[in-house]
Amino acid sequence: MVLGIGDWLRHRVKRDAPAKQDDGVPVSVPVPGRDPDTLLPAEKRAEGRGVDAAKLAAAIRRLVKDHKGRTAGAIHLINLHVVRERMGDRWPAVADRLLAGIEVILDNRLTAADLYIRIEGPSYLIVFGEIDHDAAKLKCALIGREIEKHVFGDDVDLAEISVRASVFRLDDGLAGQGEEIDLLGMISALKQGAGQTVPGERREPDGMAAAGRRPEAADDGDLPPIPNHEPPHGPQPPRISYVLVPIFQTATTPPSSFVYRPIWHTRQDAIATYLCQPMWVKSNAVGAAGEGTIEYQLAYSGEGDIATLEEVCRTFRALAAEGRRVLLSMSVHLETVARSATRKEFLAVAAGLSPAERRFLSVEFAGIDETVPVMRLTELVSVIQPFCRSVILRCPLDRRRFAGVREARLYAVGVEIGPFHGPEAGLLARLDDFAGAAQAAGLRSYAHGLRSRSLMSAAIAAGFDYVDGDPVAPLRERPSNAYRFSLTDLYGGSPETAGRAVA
Amino acid sequence: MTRILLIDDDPLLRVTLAAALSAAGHVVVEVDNGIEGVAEARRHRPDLVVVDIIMPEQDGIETLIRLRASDPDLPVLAIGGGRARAADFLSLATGFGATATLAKPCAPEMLVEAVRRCLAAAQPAGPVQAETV
Repeated sequence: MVLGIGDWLRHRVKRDAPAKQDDGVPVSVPVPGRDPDTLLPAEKRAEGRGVDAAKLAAAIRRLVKDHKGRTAGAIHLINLHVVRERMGDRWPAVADRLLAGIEVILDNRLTAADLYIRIEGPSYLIVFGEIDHDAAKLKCALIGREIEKHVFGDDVDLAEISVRASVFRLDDGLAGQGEEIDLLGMISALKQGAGQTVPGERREPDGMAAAGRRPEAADDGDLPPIPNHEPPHGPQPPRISYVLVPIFQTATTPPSSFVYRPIWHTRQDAIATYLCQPMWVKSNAVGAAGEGTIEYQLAYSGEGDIATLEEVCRTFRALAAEGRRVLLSMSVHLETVARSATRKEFLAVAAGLSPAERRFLSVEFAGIDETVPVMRLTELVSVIQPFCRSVILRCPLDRRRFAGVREARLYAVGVEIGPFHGPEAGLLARLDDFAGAAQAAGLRSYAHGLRSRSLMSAAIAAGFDYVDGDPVAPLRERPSNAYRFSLTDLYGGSPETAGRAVA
Repeated sequence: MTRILLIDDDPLLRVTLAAALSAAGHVVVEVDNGIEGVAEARRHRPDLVVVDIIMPEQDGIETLIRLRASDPDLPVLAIGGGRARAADFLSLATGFGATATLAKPCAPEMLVEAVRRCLAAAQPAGPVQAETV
């Protein structure tokens, strides 16, 4: 099925658009044949007031013309009518809150080059100005997941609403297939529709300070003093909320891209380290929102390790060019260092790190189990140590013996929690035991991928020195600046703001 | 007779604490997680909530925040301990509005006394002061 976007736009522009609306607030388009009673309150308010369809159409036309191969996507809320019926008189208030929450997320996640509008009750159409089809699929799925997580959360009343994302190519037409069919249906309905649409051009908020956190902080390392005011001028790294799904098969291709995990030093009350993580995005990785969308490698990939180090080198230079300095961390697998060919290649890249950059790099060994003798471990550490400030070791959660690790002059041991350790109830005691054993051996400890506040608080109470995960900060496409982050911030920053943070 | 909502994921400790509170003449409602605790408090307002801080799925701090959001005057005694940084979380609970905190492990009579002081502090005669027992 191919629907000419030009036809659709012409049709849209030709629709009656009797008045202007310049406040930028997106309103919906009543779709023909739809029961007016299913409209949300904001939609009802939109009825009868003028909208500026031409402005939106012009913006979309510009995108289509200037960016061949660009992509559009849509976010659909499913089962809305079920919840509406159940909530009765409470529905208008809930619906307003729901829409406001979704649009905050869209505002945060889309860039100035993107456009979005709400076109049905409610579905959102997004036109991406800069990213390709695969990236749009990813982004739509992530937005959908974030809506489920942050807007609906554990709200029992809204539990039946699900979010689905779909994406189509925006070339000279709309080439739809498979998962994209919902969006095509929506566009078709619009084409036949009698409603009007207001432009919903949105810009990403300025800076990461939008998270409501205090801006800058010192670290336990040799970061320069950071003033206690807003982050430095210049572009701030976009915030993203990728869903990491571990895979255990060796990747046969180079990483698609990289993400950075902000790591919280819980005793220093600061986020000053970013773990660079290679990722592989599968073309079929986007389906129903809420499913994993990005895979990261737990199995060995020498190519991935080397590519990650190259990315770290690039990032150090980019940060230096911006006058910024943060600690970076990366993983390297045992095989990469143990095998002659990959070790040479890895060390050749590492040799390009300046002495200053080495003081800001921490390297994590992965894939080294308890059977590796201390002598061998020491040898491996000695290969890497000259190129970084510390070498740390990722371990299974149930490892308890760390004397050899200490002997090999490693700085810390840690675990990857992620989604694959089962229910939280079974994790708390294991986190306690791991941190206790590390502390007894004189080692620092860290936990990656803590997915909830409750796991985060359990890990911190257990004594983990470094933690990361969504409750602290979402993944980023580039490292941000260092900034202060305390236990209080984990719950929203203050008693006054905590209610909103946990809601 | 006061009605106390006891939220703790540790079944052994929960039974022990409930027995101590019951013996002191309180009616105790037990739940094993914060999500259920908040729901129970909304269904039947207790006179006081005793909440453990480190719990799976929804910890005690988040539970406290949710309780406070829906019922700012509800007395809450936060309990925690036995972990490396438990004291930090007790302090945090005070910051987020716990009426009092109590470090674990504690003797049953200490809990009963903490509950008594918490309830007394919640009386309208005087201002509620956060305190660490």
